[in-house]
Amino acid sequence: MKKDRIRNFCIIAHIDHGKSTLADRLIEKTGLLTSREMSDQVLDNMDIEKERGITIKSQAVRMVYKHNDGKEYILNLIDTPGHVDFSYEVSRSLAACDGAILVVDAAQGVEAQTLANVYMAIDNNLEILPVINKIDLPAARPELAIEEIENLIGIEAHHAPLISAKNRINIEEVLEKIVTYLPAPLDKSDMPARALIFDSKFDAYKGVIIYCRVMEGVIKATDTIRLMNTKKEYQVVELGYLKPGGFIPAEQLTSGEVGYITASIKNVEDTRVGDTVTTAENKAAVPLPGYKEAVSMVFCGIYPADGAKYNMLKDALMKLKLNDAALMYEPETSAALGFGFRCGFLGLLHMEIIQERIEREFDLDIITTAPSVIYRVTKTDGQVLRVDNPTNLPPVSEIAYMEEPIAKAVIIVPAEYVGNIMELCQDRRGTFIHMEYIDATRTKLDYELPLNEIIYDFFDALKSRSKGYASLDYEVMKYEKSKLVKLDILLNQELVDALSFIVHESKAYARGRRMVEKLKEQIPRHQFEIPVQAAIGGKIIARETVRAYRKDVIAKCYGGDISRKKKLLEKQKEGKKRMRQLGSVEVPQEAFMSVLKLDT
Amino acid sequence: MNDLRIYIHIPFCKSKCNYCDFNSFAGMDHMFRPYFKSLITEIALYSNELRGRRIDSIYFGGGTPSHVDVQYIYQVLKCFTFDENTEITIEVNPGVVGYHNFVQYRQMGINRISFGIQSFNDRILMYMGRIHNSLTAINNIHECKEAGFDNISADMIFGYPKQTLEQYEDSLNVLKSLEIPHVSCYSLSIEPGTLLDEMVKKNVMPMPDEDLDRAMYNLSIESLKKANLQQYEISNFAVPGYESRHNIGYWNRDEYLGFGLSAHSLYNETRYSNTEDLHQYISLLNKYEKPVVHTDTLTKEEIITEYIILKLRMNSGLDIAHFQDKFDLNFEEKYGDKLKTLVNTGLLYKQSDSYKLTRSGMDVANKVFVEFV
Repeated sequence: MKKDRIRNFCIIAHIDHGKSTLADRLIEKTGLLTSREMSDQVLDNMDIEKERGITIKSQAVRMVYKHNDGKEYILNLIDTPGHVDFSYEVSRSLAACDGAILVVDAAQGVEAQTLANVYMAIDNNLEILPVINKIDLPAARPELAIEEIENLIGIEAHHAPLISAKNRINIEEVLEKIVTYLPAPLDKSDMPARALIFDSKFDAYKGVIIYCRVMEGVIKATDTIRLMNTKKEYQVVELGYLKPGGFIPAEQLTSGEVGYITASIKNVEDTRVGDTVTTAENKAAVPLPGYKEAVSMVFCGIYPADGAKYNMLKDALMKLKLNDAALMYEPETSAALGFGFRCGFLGLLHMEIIQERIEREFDLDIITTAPSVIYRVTKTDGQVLRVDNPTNLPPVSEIAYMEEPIAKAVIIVPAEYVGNIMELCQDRRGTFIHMEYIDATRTKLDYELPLNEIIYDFFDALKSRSKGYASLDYEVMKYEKSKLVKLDILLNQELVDALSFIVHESKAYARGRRMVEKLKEQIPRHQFEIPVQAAIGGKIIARETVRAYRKDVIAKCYGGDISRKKKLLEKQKEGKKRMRQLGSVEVPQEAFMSVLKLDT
Repeated sequence: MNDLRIYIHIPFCKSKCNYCDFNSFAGMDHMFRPYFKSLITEIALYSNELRGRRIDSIYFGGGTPSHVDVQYIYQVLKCFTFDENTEITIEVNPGVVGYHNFVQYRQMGINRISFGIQSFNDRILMYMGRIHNSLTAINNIHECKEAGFDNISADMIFGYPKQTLEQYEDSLNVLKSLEIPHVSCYSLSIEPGTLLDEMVKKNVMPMPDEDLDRAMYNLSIESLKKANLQQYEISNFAVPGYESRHNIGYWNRDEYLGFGLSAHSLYNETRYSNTEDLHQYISLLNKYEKPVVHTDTLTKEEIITEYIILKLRMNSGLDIAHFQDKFDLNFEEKYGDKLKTLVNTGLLYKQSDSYKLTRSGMDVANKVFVEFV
């Protein structure tokens, strides 16, 4: 394959700006799939992705496009995860490309996250092709979107195709521009092989499937490959190109090409995104730059709602981990919740996705504890601890000082909500850094925010204070000393370890107050009165009481009532199943999660 | 073949009460004729089920059965074969029918009157949206007795917003002075979608207090006992011998056929329910189709569940031997741990080979029942 006939590119877009729809149109237009074969969005193939409209796991697809110069071009579309939690994965996908399509919604303009990804693309020396989508919406302002791209990103955008992916307007022009505007890969086939892993996936039959872009050299189906960071070697079983939902085996992959490799690899942890594949015979001297170990930023406890299902939960986590090297877990026990796991995630969304997948794909009811970040605790004896579980915090008397992670946050918001958002950031202990107008109506705010404020319901608060318009990108940058305390919750005088969390001293009282109020709403009445208390270091700072119930009876039960009342009891029973027995108190699972959303 | 029970639903009312979530309509009097025509057609469609079965009870419920012309009731009753031992009840709202109508009811074979009294306090009656007052109710009961009825029942409601314990006690005293042999006392439940529900949500009416509600329940049990009205079910009290056979039939899971809008049946261990849509009801029967919209054939486990929760509603409780007989299962073996817990927490007790709800078990009967669902 001649290198000038290949284009490797990705699509950068904010959630809902139409990335997946455009991808579908390109695939449809190049005739890879008939429209009957197109399920709605081909590239997003996890249920949760479809429902949330975001892409979590990246994949790639190879399209053959016949250009009007009469030649056929291979277009490799590499999909990127579309969320801030996966910025490392995004950066590796970008590094596998030579160009990027930037999709901007004609009605919404550029968002914070898009910006972050575009900057990343530019850092990777990608050529950016802007595309304005949704031009057929009544609220579309394509000129403004173009202006924003030019002001904010500093790239020429007047040639941008104006399209509607949804209604198939101007798709041809996008394909045409991909060929003429985006660069072809350089031919470096004579060098030792170096291929960049941008994704990997566990398949029950093939083992791990590596998705990679060959940057230099050639990898043959008969080679033994070596993963340069994990330093492991495997005999190739099969390699080749990708098509939606399938594979096209080939004899070799050469520089500039995108494809897959299988080699009876049993564990995705060994094929970490960003690692370099070389051949055992003709080893490259150094791996490709940019490799990073997965770093968990957010932690929480995950417990089976039904303690007897611990092994099923373990099994579920193991299976999820097969396809998600960034997921960390280890066993832990809680006095309140029994046996479970401490899990580490890239961010809050990653955490929510895993929780949802456990419940949905494995049909397990789980209880999750308050998310936590890693605190650095320096003890009076000079020892430094990393604490990701409030329960493990040493007694106050042994703590010299504590430090918490601070993130650099970029928020883009329509000018009219700037006041609201600044108030929110201030309230969340943010430090204002910079503000600029990116056009007549929108503003970019730079803040330094403690990560534990971001994971605590910040997204929802941001959305509700900006009618959904504000967007956020963040990156942890440093640790800072902070006055932090551990807030405990007592139910019926018993400490519930699963509800403890670490909070800034200035917030503790208000947070404790709201927690007990919320718990009072959530905990059903029992046969006895239940005090709900918040405490710091043994000192009670707030209290509510769940009164004892006196009456729970169906007074009337005649011929027409029996079926209905039976359903009522069944519902009550379902509700009971979702309860967790904490000492003498039954607590609904929802209570654990809802106390973490006290703002809304 | 066991005896059969019949329920007839009359969905019409003069006006709708504030707390009512039954399928009933006010201001639909023009539908009487087509409705009863359909009702009689429906009964005819069940001639196979009715053939050869003795009917032990017939119950006209509503709505307000007394709101329709006596003639309609007679036409329906004529469709059934019954004998002098058949218990035939009609629900009556005070002041709707007079002495003359009561005589007619008796003549056609009705032998039990169930009055919707609810309260003898006029202010509370007004809050309830009832259209009668206490004097009308007292006079009406006298007329009913004069017409020859002695098997009379009264429905009462307690725990209504703004109702005080004293007011309720006064009502019970009036009731006792009338020497009625059967009383049903219902703890109010505020059903979603009712006018009362809206009033409470909008703070027009206060939320009833649970402690007061239970004090009133206690009072019902204690006060009625003094008049020889013995509690025999969570909400029902009778002078021994005057218990409602029809209703006991529901709790014993006797077979019954329900006719009319939204009526339910239990037949051959299957529960059926009719449509709740008046026009659909009529149009289906115009085509001679049964108006059943939901059929639920019960599994053995479901039958057991129903058996337990219905038996436990009654003061006579659940008889272990009867359970064994019916299901070929040992009740105590099957539910050993649950029974132990419920007995230990004071919600159930065992008395001469029967399990029964304790007094506090009656307050929170759902907590007990849910263990067997």
